[in-house]
Amino acid sequence: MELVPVSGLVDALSVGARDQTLVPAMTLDDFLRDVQRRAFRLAEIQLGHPEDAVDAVQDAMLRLVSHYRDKPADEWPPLFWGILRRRIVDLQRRRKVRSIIVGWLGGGRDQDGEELPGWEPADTAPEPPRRLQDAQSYAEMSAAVQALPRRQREAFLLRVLEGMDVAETAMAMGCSQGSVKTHLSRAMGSLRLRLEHWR
Amino acid sequence: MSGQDKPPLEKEARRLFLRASRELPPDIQARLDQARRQATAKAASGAGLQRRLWWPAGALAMACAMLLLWQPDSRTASTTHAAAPKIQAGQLPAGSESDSELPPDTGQGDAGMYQDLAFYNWLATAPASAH
Repeated sequence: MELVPVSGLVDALSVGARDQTLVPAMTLDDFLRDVQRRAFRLAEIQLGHPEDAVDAVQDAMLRLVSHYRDKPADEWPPLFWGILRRRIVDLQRRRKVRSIIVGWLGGGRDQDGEELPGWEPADTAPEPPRRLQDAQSYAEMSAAVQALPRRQREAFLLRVLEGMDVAETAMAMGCSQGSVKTHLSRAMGSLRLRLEHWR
Repeated sequence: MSGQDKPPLEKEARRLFLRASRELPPDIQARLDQARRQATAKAASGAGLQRRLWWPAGALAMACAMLLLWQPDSRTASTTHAAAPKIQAGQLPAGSESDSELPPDTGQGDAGMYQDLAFYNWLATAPASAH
């Protein structure tokens, strides 16, 4: 990991002083730098919109720094993913309410009454075959994950994609480890059916 | 769980996810970097603000405490009051005489009883044959 402490923050944000002889101290800035890209992709899969995903990640960063900067570094991952998960749920609920209101007001449709298209990923420039295939596979996987029930989706994203262990996933999801295993098992069953052609 | 133990679906999903995370559009990457810098800068300014607020608040609290403790006049008076023994209602201090040892209060007594005192004295001391 690249360690580039922000000037003036080293004292306030550095942790792991007792382990300094073994590993370099990790700052909260380092942690966020490491996790921000994956957090964005995770939020994007769930929200389906890059703008909302950036907002969710930014909010999660602010909340983590404001409330938990004094926690030990090994507690940051489940705390951060838990904050991001709740932020995503909040945004999804707001969006649902907004869509209902827009529906009442007659929005979301063009002049002919046809429903306006939702957000779609930007059309990328021509790519090498492998890269293009990966992009298509990623889009398929994202769509399949989006179709999962919320708790199954969260378990899959945190446990499989982010690679957290069961205990950390349970902490981030605010449930028991048994529930994580159950949700994940069901998620994998659904995904194997939907992505059967991957085999 | 090691990578080799993973079923192909999980392994492939994670590979795609990590690749997509590495290859973010530049504008998204820039916005994430900016968000991170804002968050950490806010933490630094918040900690500094807390320190700046705590020092005057602590000094003010100390000054109030000193003012409450250091009051010479009230302290002397309160010491005098504190040294005096407390006497509860209906209770005499040690060494004082009780009500039973005081002379009878003529003002509150029955005047007839004093007039017949000589008679009662005679009645008590006279021989029985005289009754």
